[in-house]
Amino acid sequence: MYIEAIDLGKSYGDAVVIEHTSFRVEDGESIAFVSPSGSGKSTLLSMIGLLLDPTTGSVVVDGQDTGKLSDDVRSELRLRSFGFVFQHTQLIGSLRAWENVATPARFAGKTDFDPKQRAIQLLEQFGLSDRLYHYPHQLSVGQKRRVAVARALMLSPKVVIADEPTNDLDLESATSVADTLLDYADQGNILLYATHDLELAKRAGTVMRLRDKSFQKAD
Amino acid sequence: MKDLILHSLKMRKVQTVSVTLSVALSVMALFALVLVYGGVQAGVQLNAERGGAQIMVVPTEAAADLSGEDLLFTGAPASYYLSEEAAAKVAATEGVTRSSAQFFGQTLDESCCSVDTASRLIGVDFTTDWTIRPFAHIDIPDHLAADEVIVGSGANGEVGQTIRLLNHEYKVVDKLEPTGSGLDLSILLDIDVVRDICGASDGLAYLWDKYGDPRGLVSCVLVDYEDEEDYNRLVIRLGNIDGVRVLERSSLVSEAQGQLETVFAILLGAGVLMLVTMLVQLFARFYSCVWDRKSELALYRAVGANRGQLRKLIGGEVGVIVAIGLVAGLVLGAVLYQVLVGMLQNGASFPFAGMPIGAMIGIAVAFIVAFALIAVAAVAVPLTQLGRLEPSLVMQQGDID
Repeated sequence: MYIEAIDLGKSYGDAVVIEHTSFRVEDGESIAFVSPSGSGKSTLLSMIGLLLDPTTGSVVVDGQDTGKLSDDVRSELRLRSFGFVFQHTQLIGSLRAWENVATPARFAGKTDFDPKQRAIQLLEQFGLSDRLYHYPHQLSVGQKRRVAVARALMLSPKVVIADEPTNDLDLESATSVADTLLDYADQGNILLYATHDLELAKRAGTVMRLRDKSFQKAD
Repeated sequence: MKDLILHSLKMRKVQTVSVTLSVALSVMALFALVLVYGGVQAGVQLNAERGGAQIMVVPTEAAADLSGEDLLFTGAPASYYLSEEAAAKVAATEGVTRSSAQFFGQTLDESCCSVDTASRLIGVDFTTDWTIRPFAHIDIPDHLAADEVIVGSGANGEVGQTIRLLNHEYKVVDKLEPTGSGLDLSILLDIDVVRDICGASDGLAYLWDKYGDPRGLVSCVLVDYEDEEDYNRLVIRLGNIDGVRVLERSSLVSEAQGQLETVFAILLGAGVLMLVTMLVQLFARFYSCVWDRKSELALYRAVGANRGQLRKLIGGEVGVIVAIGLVAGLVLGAVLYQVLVGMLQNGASFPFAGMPIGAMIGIAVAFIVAFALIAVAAVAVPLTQLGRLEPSLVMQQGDID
């Protein structure tokens, strides 16, 4: 699988957020997008993750221009091929930890695995075996982040998009989350993440920095 | 998806229960109202179709104490009597094509008889009667044997059974079809047999002291006519007979219908108001539901739910609420209808016929279709909102309650 961003740009009226951003990423590769907070990383990840239509340019997935796909096909692509770790974790407060992890499976129809068992297995893998039935408000920030990562991996996507995945975490939790995501990329998947943490950025195969509203490959 | 729908409803228990109750109560009120209205209409129609007496001539005293509707439709027991001579004058009046006398006996109850509902004893002159036969299953002879009775559809006793009335046993030879009138709770015997029973009753002796031998008395005379143009003059001619009052079916029916329609219009207005309230509640519930849950729904979109799946989610929630409300409302409505039917048959002074099961099911199905459409209308706007929901919204939100 590969993803290619071609001259991507996003504007809101006259306000240009991002422009002229291009890159290509394939299986087993990872890219870190580095810029100060509030400078457009989330907007870029939203466009790559097919959550937001670009104003200019296009996102190509395996040769298909996603801008020309129907909403249903884009939804299906997000469901089967993309996993998201959002900046604010975005767990649903009324669902238990395992239920939050299993959320994508609710929209996937029949799966060849038991969603609950899969969710529990992932949470155990992330050291949360004693937090399976806890609600988000009963979890620490680091635990919530790990639940969010587990949710992103629920349907074993080929692409993981993570927005500031280690934000607000203590060193141990940050390392654990980063290790998990990078290990996943090493298993032949694609990892795209935004961060302002330079140490974390250096662990990616490619680092892209924001220069004049355009993300460019760092030297 | 099913789990998600149920979970979502459970998480909003108060809203879910209140809207479901609102649907159930609206359905209950409207369903019962429609059934009762249908029953009254059927009663009026049944009486008209089966050509009962167009005119009833009763003693003036009876008409003073009881309303025309009571006498004509409910067969209220009236211990007032006319002489047979007066009845003969009625029969001989110009324009009368047929007439038949009836003799009202006492009201029977379980203290004297094998009946568990108060039943009226009516003596019928079967040699001249034309009002009972359309509701009968047998070819009624001109004279019932002294130990034979015909029972109304709601009275005790089945064909072939023996019932006990005032220390005598009688064989039930027929059970009439429902008439929607007091006849349904009546026990019919030959007119002379009822006169003999009443004449022998010590408790009624004071009546015979006043009116004379019951064998020469009647309670009312049912009258039919053919010449429509002569109708008004016929009523005047009958009214000129001493000691009688003329009750006209057509004017009583239209009067009763007019009163009923006013009452039903008010009730229907209240029912429609409840329906509108329910509609507003459903709309508010799902409008705010989509609005308040933007983050949650955007998350679902982000993780791969398509618009159709979100519509199914919201539509499923509406469906569950409306389905539970509908079923509960229809069941409660049917129960309320039974209660109202009991009250109407005992206390109302207009013809009433119960709705056949088939018709009730038909009305229930119509309710299901109508409420399904109402539910769709109530969530049309929220569902449109969903179509505009941007999945990128999820990137800007915090945790979702």
